[in-house]
Amino acid sequence: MTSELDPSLIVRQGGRTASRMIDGKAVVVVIDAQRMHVLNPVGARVWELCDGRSVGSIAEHITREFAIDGETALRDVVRFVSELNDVGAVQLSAEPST
Amino acid sequence: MQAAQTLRAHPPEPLTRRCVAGVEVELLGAPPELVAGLRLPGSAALSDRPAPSRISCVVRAFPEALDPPEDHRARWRWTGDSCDVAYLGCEARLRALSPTRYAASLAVRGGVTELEALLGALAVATVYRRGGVVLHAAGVELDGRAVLFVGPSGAGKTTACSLTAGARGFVRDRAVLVPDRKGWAAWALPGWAPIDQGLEPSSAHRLPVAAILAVDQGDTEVVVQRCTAIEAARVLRESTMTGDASREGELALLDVLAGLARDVPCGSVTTVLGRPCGGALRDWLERGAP
Repeated sequence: MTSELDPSLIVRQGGRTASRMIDGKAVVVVIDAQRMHVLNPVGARVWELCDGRSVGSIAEHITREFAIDGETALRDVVRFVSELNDVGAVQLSAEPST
Repeated sequence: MQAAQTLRAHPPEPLTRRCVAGVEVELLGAPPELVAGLRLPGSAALSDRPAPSRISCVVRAFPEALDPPEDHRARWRWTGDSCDVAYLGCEARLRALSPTRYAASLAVRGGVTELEALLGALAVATVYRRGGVVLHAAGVELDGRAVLFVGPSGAGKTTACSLTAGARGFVRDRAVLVPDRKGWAAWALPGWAPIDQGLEPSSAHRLPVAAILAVDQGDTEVVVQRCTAIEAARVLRESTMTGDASREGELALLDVLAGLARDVPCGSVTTVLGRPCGGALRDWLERGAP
């Protein structure tokens, strides 16, 4: 299921979320679900990059910044973004907004 | 003459002043039958409290004018010095005049119960304005400080209180926490004074907070340990009453909880049925809450 997410999709942090960095980790609250999620440093960086760029672009950043191979980064980012989408933390779209 | 002096020295307590969550409320223009039915403690209860906040409220009754409540949660949202509050179909506009003085205009649909609920929501909104929070917590007074237990319903918060030998009952299920010059202070939300904890109740209204502990139940050993800042933030967030569902409100709350987790030792306590945990708590606190 999660591996089917298209890397060309544009991803943004959900408007009904709030996040803060604490001790190098990100805490993300999905306000309407009243759930808090704690992201490790790599997850926190992915979350930070969910600013309107594509999933594939985020994976390229992770490849460079964390010195892991591109295939692994793309697989992990696709899975992670899918999980964020499942809990309502991000919005996915086919086209970048103007 | 002497009788007159006595009367002047002890004037009758105005019926319109009440105490709500450590905040003094003054009711102006409220229907007498509404004020007469209030079960909130009178203003005399505030006499031993340092610099309480005061809300002066103009109350209007609208028995049928407002829509029925869509949900039963209190809502508030601060925008600058103004705050819109809604609860049980009642609405209010609260305005901060100074750090401790507020004015409010209330439209009350219903009776005394609704008015009391709205006044409670107003008081809680001022707590958040002051950078405080209301936690779903039970707690005890231990050596002059409050130890608060948090966790979901059924986690064993009240049991942890009753197992804290040598402590006094302090708060049953709702605790107000507000930062002050010495750290954080706590008191019970009205109606949440301790009962059925098997402890003598504390005579203190307000106590400095020694620790906040998530409760767990075990079989063998009482264990008290500190948690990481991130775990503390998660536990505190899950235990916090919120009424502002805006993104800005949530961000402000996260900042408050991060500060609370930084200033007050947060951790966990594993309790064992039938085994007192007061000694382990004291020892942990005396060792600097490692």
